Amino acid sequence: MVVQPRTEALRCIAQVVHGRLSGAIAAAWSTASRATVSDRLVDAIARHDDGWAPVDRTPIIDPRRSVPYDFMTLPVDERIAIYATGIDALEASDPLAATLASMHFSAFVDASTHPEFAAREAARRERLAADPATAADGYGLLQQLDLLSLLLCLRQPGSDADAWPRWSRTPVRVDGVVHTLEWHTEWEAALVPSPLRAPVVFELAYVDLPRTPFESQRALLAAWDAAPRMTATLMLA
Amino acid sequence: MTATGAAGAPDAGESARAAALVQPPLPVAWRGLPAAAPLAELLPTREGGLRAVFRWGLAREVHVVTRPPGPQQVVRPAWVAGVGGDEVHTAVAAVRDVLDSRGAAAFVGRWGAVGDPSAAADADALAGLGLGHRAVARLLRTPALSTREALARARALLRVGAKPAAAAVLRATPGVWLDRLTLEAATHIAAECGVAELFDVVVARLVEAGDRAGVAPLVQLAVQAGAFDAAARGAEAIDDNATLATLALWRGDLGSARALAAGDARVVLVVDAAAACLGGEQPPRDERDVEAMDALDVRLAASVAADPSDHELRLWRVELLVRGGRMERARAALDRREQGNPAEHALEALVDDVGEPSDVESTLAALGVEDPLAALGRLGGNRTALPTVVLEDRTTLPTVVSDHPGVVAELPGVVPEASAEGEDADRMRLKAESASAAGATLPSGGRSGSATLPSGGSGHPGVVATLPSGGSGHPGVVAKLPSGGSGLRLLGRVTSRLRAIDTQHTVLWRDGAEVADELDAIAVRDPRDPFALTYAGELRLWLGEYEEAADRFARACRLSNARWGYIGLGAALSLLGRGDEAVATWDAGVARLEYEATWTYLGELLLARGDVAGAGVHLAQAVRTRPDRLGAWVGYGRWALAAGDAPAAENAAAEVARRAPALWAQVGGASGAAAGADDALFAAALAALRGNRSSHLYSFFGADGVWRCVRPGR
Repeated sequence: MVVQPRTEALRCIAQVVHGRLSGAIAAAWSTASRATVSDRLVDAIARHDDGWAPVDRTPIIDPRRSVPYDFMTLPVDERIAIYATGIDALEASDPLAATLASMHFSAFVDASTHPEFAAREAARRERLAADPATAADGYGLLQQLDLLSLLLCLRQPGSDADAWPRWSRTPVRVDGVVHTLEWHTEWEAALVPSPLRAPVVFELAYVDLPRTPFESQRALLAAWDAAPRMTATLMLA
Repeated sequence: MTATGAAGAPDAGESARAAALVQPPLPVAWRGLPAAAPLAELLPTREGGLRAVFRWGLAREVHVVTRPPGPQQVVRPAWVAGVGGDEVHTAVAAVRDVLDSRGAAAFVGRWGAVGDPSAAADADALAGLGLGHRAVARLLRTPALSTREALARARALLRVGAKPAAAAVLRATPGVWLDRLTLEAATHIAAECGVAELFDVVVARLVEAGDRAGVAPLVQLAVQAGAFDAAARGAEAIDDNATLATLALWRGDLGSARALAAGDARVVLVVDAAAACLGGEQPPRDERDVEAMDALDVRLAASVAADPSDHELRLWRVELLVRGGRMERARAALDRREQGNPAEHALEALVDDVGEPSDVESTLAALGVEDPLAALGRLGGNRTALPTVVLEDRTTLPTVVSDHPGVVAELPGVVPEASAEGEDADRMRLKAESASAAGATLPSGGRSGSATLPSGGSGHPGVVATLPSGGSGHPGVVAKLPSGGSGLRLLGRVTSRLRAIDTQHTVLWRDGAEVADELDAIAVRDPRDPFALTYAGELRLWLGEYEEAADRFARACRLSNARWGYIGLGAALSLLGRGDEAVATWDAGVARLEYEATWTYLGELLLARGDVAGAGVHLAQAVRTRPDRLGAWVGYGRWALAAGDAPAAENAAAEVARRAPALWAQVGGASGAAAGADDALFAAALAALRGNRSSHLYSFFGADGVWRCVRPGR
């Protein structure tokens, strides 16, 4: 779950939705150095977080903070299980997508504390034997579009700037060009310079939970069930 | 204006007089006036009559005024202030009286005391009927004969949302100012309408009267309204050097600013910071420069710590730190909660790249910024970025560009869009993008569209320019030089989506077909944005032009996967009797359509096909998730009757009567809890609504065939 703290709400966006947003941006990407992104790579980028789908159906309480866990605060052991499940599913459909996701998630896990995961994923990548240049290029694009999609989900106007993670200040850089995200309105943003052949119009599904401490998992689920399912049309130019 | 608190109780004689006055002549049984409504006040009127004020509840008043030759109903409909429910019935009662020529008029709060209540009455009553455009035309038809009347008209026009018309009335206002109350009214209305000219008149009157205390707040209002010259004259009259220093700073006149700032520690600090950031060289040349910069930073930090809300000083401090290369401190000093300030954007762009100098270079190169600090310097002295929402004025620009070519030259990055009139949209966009790519930087580094620039002079009335927005392709931003002003205000960003939303809302006081055409024009100007098309399509649905609506929505669908394209196309097809195609359209966008608007249309379609159970699921879901969607309640009422659920049908009728009393009254429904659930009423209401299932504006065709648009009651 991507959780965007706002003044009076916690805006919850499913990882799958965030992933699809990354894919939608990839599909529209067109620059002098990268005229187009292959359908296969677009699909891999769009599905990179599919492993989170079962977990994101209901939020899980972080008992220390009395708020839902997000993709950063969920305990690493649980995240590793989610990563592995997601990569397994991708491997069944597209080895390149699985390779990119494996590279992507391995970067989030400290190999010294979780050597089994690191070894298993290294073995997987060797088994899948993706073309190294293709994998490196795809991984680079996945990293940047994942970041961009997260910026869109986290740093929306109205979000609590104090809660923006430090990494969200990292510039989005693709093929050596830094693309700055500029917000126009709550649901309209632009990349400068723009790498998009046409604006990306994306229906962003989210749930606004009240920004109050949840005493228990039961209280969190009650609020989750009561909150309306919202959709807003985000446009990135 | 009558007090809204506890009013003194009238004596028995007055009450009896009022009762005698009220009871016999009342032409209708007021739905909103309880039989036991207490008489709160009895006041003499200027015309020699009496005003009886009945007040009950928290916000309900009925004013009954005698005026020769007979009594008139004067109602203050609380719904005007955004209150709905029972108050709406009061308004409807007034509206019905207007229709019946019974002389109802609306009382417009305090403004009724300074102007012509009948003018306001027309606007209010007609707005209640959804006839705002007729109200506007009526109020503009003849010139106001007095200041008071003009003010009342302007206020009334504001109440129906017709700000440009109100501004036009004010500009033509006779300059006869009667009293302090009138001046106050004029000033506030002028500020609301952005009519800078009136400030000069008002300020001059107060200065003549020696009312220094009265001038000070007007000066600040004038600054906010962009009437810089009037503000300066007012400030001079009361020796308000702090304001004069600020205005000088915004003109880039540091010398005058420094001289005027003496004696005001905060303004002195602002001027010192501006001088350090705008003048000299960068980075600091020697140790003395560094020491001076550090000392200034200490002063700025102390002031910001003392008043964290002082955004202007904080921004100057950040810029000073950036200029000194203290990027980490600059980052810490930024307040990222501030959105929309150009200096903030530009500074944030710089400090975000701390630690990776190559990124700074590549980022700024990509933005076309050759010298970011110089670009910042072009902001002049204004770090307050006066936020204002404006409507773009595309008719003024060609004249301005041809009359004042120098103005455009003063603004790096300005694309004189309207000067390219006749060029197609793609060429204009390319022009904007190439201007941006070629390094035609905006003042804030090409990244923000909102800033204040020194214009280098005055006397460019009504200059409006459109700026490109980086490489985004959006038409971008509006700039405006206030008439008579000496500083250029670049106002808020106006994207096509926002422009379409604003335009759609003008149906409250403009002809629907005219607004629909304007939305089409927005779509032509910005062919990459689907929202003008979806809003144009929606309005065509409301007008019952389903083929036209389908065309707009289909184009939106081809342009993007925005859900409104699919929702609207399905709706139009359904209303055209092409139900299978409608369902196919909704199915095509099913992943995007888990939304109550679709449930409403689909529920109606299923009901029409005899699928009562399926219709019930969708319509119940629609009213539960978005109870302010009027059309959903009408459909739900029909379903409830079909399903034999009488209580649900009665509830739906009551909801419709409460939210849309004018519509419900027109089709013959009663008000209140027993609104009268009847399929013929619901069907007539749906027919009158045409394709409108909106949750924020409802529109219907009246019995007279006139299309009306109203904000729903709550």
